[in-house]
Amino acid sequence: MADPAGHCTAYSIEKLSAFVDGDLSAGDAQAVRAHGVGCPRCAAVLSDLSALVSAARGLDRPEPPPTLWAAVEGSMERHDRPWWMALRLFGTGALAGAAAVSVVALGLASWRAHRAAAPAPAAVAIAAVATDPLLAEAEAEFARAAAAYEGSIEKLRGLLAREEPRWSAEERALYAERLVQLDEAIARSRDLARRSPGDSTGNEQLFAAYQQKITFLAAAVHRGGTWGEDGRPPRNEGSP
Amino acid sequence: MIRAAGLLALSVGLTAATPAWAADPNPPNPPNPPNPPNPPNPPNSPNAASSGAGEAQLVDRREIIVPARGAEMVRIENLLGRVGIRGTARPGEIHVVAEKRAPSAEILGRLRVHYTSFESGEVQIDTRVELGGRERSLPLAGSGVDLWLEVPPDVAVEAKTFGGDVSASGLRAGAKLETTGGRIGISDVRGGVVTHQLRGGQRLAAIEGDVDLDGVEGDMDLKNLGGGRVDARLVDGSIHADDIRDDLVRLVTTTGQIVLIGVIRPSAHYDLRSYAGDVRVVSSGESAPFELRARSATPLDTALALRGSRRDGEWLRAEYVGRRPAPRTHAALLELSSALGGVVIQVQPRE
Repeated sequence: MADPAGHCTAYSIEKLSAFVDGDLSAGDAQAVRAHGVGCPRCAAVLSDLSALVSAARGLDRPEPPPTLWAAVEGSMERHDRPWWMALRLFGTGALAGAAAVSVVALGLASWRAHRAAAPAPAAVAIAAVATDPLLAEAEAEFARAAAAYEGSIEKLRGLLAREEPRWSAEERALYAERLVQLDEAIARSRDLARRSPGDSTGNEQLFAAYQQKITFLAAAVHRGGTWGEDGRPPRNEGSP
Repeated sequence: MIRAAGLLALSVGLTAATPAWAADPNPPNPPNPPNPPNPPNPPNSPNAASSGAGEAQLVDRREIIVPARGAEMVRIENLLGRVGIRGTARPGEIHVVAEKRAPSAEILGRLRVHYTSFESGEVQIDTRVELGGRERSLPLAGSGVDLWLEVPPDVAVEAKTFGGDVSASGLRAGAKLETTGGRIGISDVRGGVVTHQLRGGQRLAAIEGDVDLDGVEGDMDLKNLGGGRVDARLVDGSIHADDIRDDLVRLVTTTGQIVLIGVIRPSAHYDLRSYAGDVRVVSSGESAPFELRARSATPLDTALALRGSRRDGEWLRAEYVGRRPAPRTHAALLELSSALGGVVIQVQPRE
């Protein structure tokens, strides 16, 4: 699906941007993620947007005015709201509120942390994230999962090595062509994940790409080389 | 549109006893009966606990009632640990117990739990870790958050973990569970069930609804399923299914065994396939007549008397007419295939 300029029209740039920002619902995010695995154009846009977001995060953040929270609170008071929205959970300054306030709620903790220390230059902030042991922990977890996916792919490739000689030349060509596409999707996703350390979006896309390859290989094992475009595991193919 | 949002600012608190069902060491089993919620813990008293690795950890446990009037869907994303869901809450509220653990108070303070309530009737609950001034949904090895939820039975549930086990029970509007490396356990659920898993194994029991299971590594154990359809796909692991009453039963694995125990039902379609493992059907009662299509590396091993056996390429075709032929009974279709293993049809001895 592409416009005259060659851009994919499945998702707008705003939608892709919202995906990178983590603003989509889980269902929408899943749909964009799945689309990105098979669409090089959107994958490239996602990669660029992720890089942009990563760079933007390194910028120094302006100090919110000291009156901001009081203003938000006052705004909340003026609205008719259920009793529970007025609660401050656990009395620790956490928030419950309406739409506009939620943004503040999500950012308040980091804002407070930011206020406690002198503003750090962008480079220092980036270095701080890069050397944070929690980031290394998270990346190690993702790497372990990626290794598990790759291990399963290797197993399936081993099984296919037994089946492949029985395929026709056309089947082998189709198989190789599809494999190239899947490997390209994995490479793009891996690049996206590498460019955005500490961001689960890239890794989720990488895992989705691995999953597609596993589904394809498993289907090829069962079907003996006669698989469809759906990439689904076997149904009734092969039965009389 | 967002209706409400909150941040469970779990600072530090006393470790209280985790509810018995939440502390179940084997979540894929049906959870234990509920315990009454514990009272909230007093703040500012971090308590040291020992992690599985022997390293002392701080544990902070909090409870909250999330208002969920009109909620139709609850989505939980917790890449930081386990998720356990039970459909036992009163209508209009979700009871959340969040238990954070970390090796230091500094890291404990960087673990967050959020909820967001949308006008659409969706409630989202997720966990994050503060990293570089931004909260991120990430898995960690040395720290984590476990979430134990009681939701109204009639809300649909979607839950996602990374390495943590995820379990659901007592739900009446279906469940979708996804995990990378945790175990999946689902019991006593009505409505559609969908799972996705990289590894860890899945255990399902007492489901009334369509079931769609997807796994790469780990065994699947299915018991007492009834609805319209069971579709289980696995790459590396065995599938054991007992007492399946669906009209369409499709169990597929690449390297493991498939075992189906139960009665072959009239008109049902059974499609059991393994590439490298055996496929075994154990008839545990008065099975309906069926048409058999079988393919295996070794000769078919059957304890049921078949008739009309003939070859059709790699496939063997035959019929089973039942012990007491009933002309009006619609035959089932049994497709059993193992490229490298055997196909076995057994009869379970009566007790």
